[in-house]
Amino acid sequence: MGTDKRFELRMTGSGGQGLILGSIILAEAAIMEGKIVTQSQVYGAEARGGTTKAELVISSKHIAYPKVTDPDVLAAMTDEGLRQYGGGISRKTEVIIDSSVMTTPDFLNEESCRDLLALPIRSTLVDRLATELGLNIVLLGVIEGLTGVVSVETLRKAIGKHVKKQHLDLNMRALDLGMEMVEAQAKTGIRI
Amino acid sequence: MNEHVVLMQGNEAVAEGAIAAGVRFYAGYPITPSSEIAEIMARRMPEVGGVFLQMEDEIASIMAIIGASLAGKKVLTATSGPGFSLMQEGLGYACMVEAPIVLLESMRYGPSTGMPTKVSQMDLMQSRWGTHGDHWIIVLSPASVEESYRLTIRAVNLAEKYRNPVIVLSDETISHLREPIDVSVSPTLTDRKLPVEKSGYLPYRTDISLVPAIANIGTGFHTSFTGLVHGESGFQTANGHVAEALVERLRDKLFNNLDDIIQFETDRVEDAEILFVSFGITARGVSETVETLRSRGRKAGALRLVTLFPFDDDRIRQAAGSARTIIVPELNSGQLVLLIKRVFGDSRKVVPMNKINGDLISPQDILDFLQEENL
Repeated sequence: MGTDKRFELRMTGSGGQGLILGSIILAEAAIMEGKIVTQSQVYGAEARGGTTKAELVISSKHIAYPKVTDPDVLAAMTDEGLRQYGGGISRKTEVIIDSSVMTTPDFLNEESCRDLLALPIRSTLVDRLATELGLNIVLLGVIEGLTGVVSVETLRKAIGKHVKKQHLDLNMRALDLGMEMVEAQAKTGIRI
Repeated sequence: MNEHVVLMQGNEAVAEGAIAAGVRFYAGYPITPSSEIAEIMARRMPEVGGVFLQMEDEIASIMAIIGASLAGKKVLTATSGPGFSLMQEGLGYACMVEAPIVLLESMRYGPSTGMPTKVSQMDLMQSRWGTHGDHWIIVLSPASVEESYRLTIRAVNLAEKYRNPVIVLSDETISHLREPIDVSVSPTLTDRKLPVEKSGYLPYRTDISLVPAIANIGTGFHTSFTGLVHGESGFQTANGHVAEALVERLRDKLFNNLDDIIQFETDRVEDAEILFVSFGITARGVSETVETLRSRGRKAGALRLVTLFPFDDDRIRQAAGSARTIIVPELNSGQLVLLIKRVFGDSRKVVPMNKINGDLISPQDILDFLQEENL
């Protein structure tokens, strides 16, 4: 991340997927690297199962307006999340969707966003690590692999602050899995 | 990396700020968007030797903190619009008995229960005039998580110094926003003045400060507290001269100290031709807009009110520079703008900008507004 650059991330999906925690972990990693952040979320009654949105702004200087206005990355983990919070993207925005549970909507094309990265996030997590937990960490791995917004070491440290010792190994593997998925995608050069 | 910098939510910053300021008694009734404060205080008060009370409603909550305050504790309660409405009775009582209390109000969309999870700035006038009768109140307005921490400490200090209720008027966005803050600096704390001599003690006798040195309940002094008009002894009277002197003193103990109480921030006001006057979260969208306008060669400036009340027309006039056009963006149908119009009359063009759909005023909203209004 360049010195004066402002990085904006929006994640949306289903309550319980841990996207808000994911945004907090990435925010803490950025702080460890001396960055300024603002993290926010939709705040609703639906803690689990409802549609959720988490936002994070990372900058090397003071952040005046604290909300995401022109996201660098939009990550959608459910169709409903993309439908509700997929607006406000531009040619600048890299869109990540979970192709194992979502269908690519028509409005995402070369005109509306910079790139669309459709990865089978949930199914790969279940196949490789035999769990549904850690989807948020796989997603952080994808975002990290795509942007390198913080160093991988810092991100590991920030994750370590939030997960119990017995789950640390699983979460580190989830992070690696996300980064591998981006790498594999880059090698094949396939963009959907 | 500074290891003292931590990611904190606005509500957490209020709770931790209060603890740093010496608050050791919290009574409240949780309500969105302030609930985390009660949740955190329930855990933290016992850790620091304080008391947390979950009350049956907001009336009981404010009465509980008034009681604890009069017994010598530094106190806090937190609420939002609907609960704040219930607290108005106690707020007037606290003004009258001169109980140092701090009340955090996180504004959500109203009226009534409105939209609990949506932001507004609709309770500005309620914070000043919510309770009946001539009364004076200090209202502080944070615009960030860091300032939520700092202004909560300041609120406790001002409450103690002037024996007056202080409201920290926050909002849903700041309450739930997370930002990095450095909490390693030990704050300077103020303690209320206490009486020394028991003989001839009159609780409401004052010196030149006009702030009485009232004994804390249970310290061996005779105490008497009433919402009725009272003289120096603290006992009720219907004497018009005493009543007039009391209400004037309640005003003057604050208004003689406006330099100490009133704070605001200015940004490039000196040569500004277009000035934004705002408070709280709205000021952050304004700040970015001023930057954008300046980069386009427009002489824009901003005045942000940190202390909302007492509101002093002269200070605002002086701070506002000579901009011909003054825009007042706020998340209500026009409350601050009434005061700004009072300050400037017809001498400047004062333009309200209002948003009442539960979303923030973004920099783009302001730029669009300028274009639509040909400003």
